[in-house]
Amino acid sequence: MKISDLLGTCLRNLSRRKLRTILTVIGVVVGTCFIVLPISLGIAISENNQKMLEQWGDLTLIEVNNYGNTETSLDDAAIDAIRMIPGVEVATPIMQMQIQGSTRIFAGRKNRYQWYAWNVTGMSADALSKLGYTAAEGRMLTSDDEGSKKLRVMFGDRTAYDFEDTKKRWPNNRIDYWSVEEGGELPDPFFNPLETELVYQLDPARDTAKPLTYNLEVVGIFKGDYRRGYETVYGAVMDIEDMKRIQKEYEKANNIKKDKDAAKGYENVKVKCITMDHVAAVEQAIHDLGFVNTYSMEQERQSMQESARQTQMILGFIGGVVMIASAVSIMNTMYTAVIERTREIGIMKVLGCELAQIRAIFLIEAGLIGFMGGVMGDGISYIGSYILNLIGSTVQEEGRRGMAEAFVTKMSIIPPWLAVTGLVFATLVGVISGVYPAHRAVKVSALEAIRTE
Amino acid sequence: MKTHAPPREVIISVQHLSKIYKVGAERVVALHNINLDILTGQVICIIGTSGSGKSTLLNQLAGLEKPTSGKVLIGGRNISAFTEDQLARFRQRHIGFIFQSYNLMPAMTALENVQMPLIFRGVSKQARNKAAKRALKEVGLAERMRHKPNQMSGGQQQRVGIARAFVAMPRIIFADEPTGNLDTRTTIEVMRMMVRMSRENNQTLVIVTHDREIAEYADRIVTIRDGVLIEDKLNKSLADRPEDEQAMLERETDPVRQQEPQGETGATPSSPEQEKATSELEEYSPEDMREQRSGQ
Repeated sequence: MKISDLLGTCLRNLSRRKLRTILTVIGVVVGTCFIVLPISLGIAISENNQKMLEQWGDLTLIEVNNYGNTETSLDDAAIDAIRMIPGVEVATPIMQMQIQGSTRIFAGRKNRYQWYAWNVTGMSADALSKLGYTAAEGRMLTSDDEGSKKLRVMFGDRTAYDFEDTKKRWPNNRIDYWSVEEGGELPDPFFNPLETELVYQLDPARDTAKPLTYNLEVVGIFKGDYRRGYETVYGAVMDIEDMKRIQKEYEKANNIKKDKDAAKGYENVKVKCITMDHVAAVEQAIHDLGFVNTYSMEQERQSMQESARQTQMILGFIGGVVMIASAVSIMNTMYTAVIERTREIGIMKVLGCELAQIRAIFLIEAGLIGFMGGVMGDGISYIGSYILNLIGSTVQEEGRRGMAEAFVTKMSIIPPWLAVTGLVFATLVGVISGVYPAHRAVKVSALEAIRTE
Repeated sequence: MKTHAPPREVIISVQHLSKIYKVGAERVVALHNINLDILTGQVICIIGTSGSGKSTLLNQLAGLEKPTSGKVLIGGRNISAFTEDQLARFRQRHIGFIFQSYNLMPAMTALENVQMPLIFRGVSKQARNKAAKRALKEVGLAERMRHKPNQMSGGQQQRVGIARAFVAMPRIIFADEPTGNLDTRTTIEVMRMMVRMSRENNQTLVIVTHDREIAEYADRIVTIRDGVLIEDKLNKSLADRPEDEQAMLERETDPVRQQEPQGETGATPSSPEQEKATSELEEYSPEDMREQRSGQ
């Protein structure tokens, strides 16, 4: 028998007993909905969790801290080892200047404007883009900027506003930008940092020494993003090699000796993974290298996922039970069909229908019931999902009027794979339910055809 | 004791066939040591009263049931040893069946019913449509192709049944009480049609009936009583049958029959008419039984 003939025969048989087919299909529809919808809720929950975590920080980032580690130091060799871990996109040390005096950056004539540069960070310049840092103005810092005649840095987008006018008294010595309403135009800072000569001054540890000064050039202004780091808002970033050089010069000028007991290497390393799914493995690999003190969003994500999964499991269990009920109903329908069609099966056998063909007819009929139920179940799930989201969004709008768009979440999400899985599952349930009835059909004797009524 | 070389045209050979049913602790002998050779192109009638075992014999010949002992050779192949699937494929290709109660599929039109054996063979829709239409025309139902069984009279339904049995150009057609549900006039019509059609293509027609009048249409009449073949004769009105057939008949009725080698017995090739008719069904070539044999 050709496939088209098999399908035609099966569809004809199903349409011959329409009501029974429809009733059985309804069972599968309900079963499919009870599986697809709970999973869609679970997907929505975990996607919302993810959005929420993204508000808090980069989900692909692991921070490695240089304390609590035994016999290992977070030095360049360690960073190279971390970079070799599969799944790591980029790793950069994070360094803060170790200065006993204060550090300031000056601008304007006679250093009129000054900023207490308490947040100058050294990082691998080339890692900035990969870590998701972007320039709002100017350009990004690169490793080519390292060692240039003027010290090259990037500013946070509020750094310029943090400068004080030394000729004015508090509280009038700064530009008022904080009382500007959301979305309003910001006033200009005292100067444009991209076009201004700046001086970086490191005050000495003791009054006896002279301060160190460097000419400074701002190559770009970050797009401020607290999730990436505070330095993109109120801070300055320079290449790690520049910072190390300055640190050494400062220590030399001030005759500072390194504390031998201090932890060796960098305070902190940022590791960015290629995707979120790499985080757990990379974090484990870093632990294996001896750096046990790490932090990532992974644990929060995992525990949130776990609770979402539990909710999903409970609802899915209900779906499974409904599906078992519909499987029984398919089996019943098909078994009745075999009994009703005993004579027909006998005739088919006499006319030369092979056993495999008879089996196929009953399996396909059962599968078609599952398939139709799956298609309709998917359709109804989509409608249900749409209604849930409609209700959800109105509730949210009531509760969170004026919130940023990122907070508007969905209650139910049905990705294509879920719809396909639902359909395949329903069809499979149908086919499996048809196995026993089909087996019975195969067993029908050809003599049934000869028997006269 | 006489021995004969097996005639070339033996298509069905029944050898020492017995069938015993167990009903509870009781053993019912339905058939006892039946020996019978049926020739290609023969119209043979197996006659007997109700409970004589004639239907059981038909079931054995068509491979619907396994014998308790003995065997049935068709075209030299022991179908008693076939698996169910082998039997199904064998029936697809070589056997047509006509039932007493027509056994048409109620949900299908006449045209679709006639196509059924071809569907199982995997013949394309176009080819089987053509073949079924021709078969229906041949039984005079060209105008009723789109009718369903319940829109037709008993005689018309049986004609659909005949068209279905003949459509795939089988070598053998079995008819089980084909006129049992029909009135006299229709019976004559149906019997003539079946005999004519099988003659046209040199097909073997095996009719099982309890009706003596029906037997008159056959070349040869075999009578069964209580599971035993009691009479095997040529129809007197058809005395012009070939010599070897006469000889064979003598042998058949010989109560103590020798075991004879049957292995070399082959079926005659298809008649030219049959070749012509089947060649129009492009999808399936008229498979000679000898091809079948070598294939197994």
